[in-house]
Amino acid sequence: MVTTKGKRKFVFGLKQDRLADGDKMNSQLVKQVVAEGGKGAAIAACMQCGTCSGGCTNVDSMDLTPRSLVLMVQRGDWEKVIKSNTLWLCSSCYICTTRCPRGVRPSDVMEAVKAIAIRQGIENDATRFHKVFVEVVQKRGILFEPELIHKYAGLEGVLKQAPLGIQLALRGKISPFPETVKNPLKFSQAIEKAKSCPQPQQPQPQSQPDTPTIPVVASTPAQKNSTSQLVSSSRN
Amino acid sequence: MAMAARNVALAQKQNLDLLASCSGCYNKSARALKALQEDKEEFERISAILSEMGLDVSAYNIRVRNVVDVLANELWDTLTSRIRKPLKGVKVACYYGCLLTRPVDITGWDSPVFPISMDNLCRLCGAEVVDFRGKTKCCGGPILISQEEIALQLTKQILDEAKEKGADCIVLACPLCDTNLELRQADIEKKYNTNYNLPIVYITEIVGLALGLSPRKLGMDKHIVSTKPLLAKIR
Ligand code: SF4
Ligand code: SF4
Repeated sequence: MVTTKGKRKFVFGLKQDRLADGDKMNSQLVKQVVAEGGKGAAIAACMQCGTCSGGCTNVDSMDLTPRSLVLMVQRGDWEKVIKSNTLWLCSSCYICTTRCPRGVRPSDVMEAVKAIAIRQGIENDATRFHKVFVEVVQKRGILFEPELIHKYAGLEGVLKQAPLGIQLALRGKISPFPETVKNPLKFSQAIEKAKSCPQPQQPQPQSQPDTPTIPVVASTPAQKNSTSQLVSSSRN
Repeated sequence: MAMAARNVALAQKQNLDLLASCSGCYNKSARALKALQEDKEEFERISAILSEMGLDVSAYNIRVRNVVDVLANELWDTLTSRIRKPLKGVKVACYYGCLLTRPVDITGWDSPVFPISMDNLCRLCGAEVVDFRGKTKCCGGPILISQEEIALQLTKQILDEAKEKGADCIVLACPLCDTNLELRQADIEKKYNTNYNLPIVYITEIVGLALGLSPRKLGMDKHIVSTKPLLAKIR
């Protein structure tokens, strides 16, 4: 890294937005992501090669590529992560995870970050649909499609999908009557309880990614952790 | 994870492998099983929820499998000797989608980049398999509701390629992919002013036809996109 007149330049023509800079790492968000289901993800091992973005199904429509998302998580830049549309465009196709040469598992990072965002109360069409989906499933232990559409898109949505629904019902592909699992009450109670389990703490929206002082020390355990994960997942 | 684990636990109770007919269910169940087997912390967390539901299982030794895996790896020899009606002259495009083969540490029975087990099955049935680059592309199923436009675009690319390669049908192994490719086909046709009329069939239907089962018994008449052109080629 060369500094000239306060303006930063990087060797090999590397742009700043690609720089995986140990000084800038902030382990807090990484820890949260790991706690939220990103256990297998070796986030600190990301070398910003961009293979994940290159193969991503929906990268054209994303404002933050999967590669940048991993970088922002490394830096703890929660603001940028939560503002991007990337989370809601990812179709969980796992191409990134399959191709990543470092075992980072960007799709796991994506899912974990999504979970954190939902816990923080972010709302959009995608989260609303997932919420409704879970509600419907929780009630009976099994999905009932017409109810799902009704809850998500209202009567209007039902009417819009009605021709297709009728065609399907006539062919015996969906039932107009709901089914249940054997003990729906026990099922839904257990899920309710699972939802209220103690959860990892919330990230601070006003995180400061550009404080290069303490985090280096603070991130040591996380990095150690990730290195061992790198070894274990390097067969991918 | 607990919801997927519930099914795994129900199967384990009967000491049977879990066979999933949907890639998504297969993937999630396999993921849950892996966590239950290999991650002690997860095991305790999930087990607590499961016993709340009245399910107590102490160890997991079953496997989660899917239809293509079983057909190709267990029933291959049985099928070989029972093909009655080879599907001569039928061109099929095999579509695997995402969750059947990815990520490889969870699935791991065929290549995540260029899987061939379904192709081989179709060849065994006597069909001609077209070289289909889109076989592992994403159809956009999970974002169909929230990002409809993008999902339809993705589906269109798959339909376009299959049509271009001259396939008589797309063979797949996932009901959600089928939702996108078959049920939304009319929407795509309308939106992009094209015409596909491309039958989308499940792998078992193709195998069933080759075994000589009647199309009616296989439910070939229950498709939204008519399978008649395909059936006409077989007779
Ligand atoms: S492919 Fe892996 S190492 Fe490369 S940028 Fe993406 S996450 Fe980082
Ligand atoms: S899982 Fe998401 S981020 Fe990864 S390649 Fe697929 S769409 Fe892109």
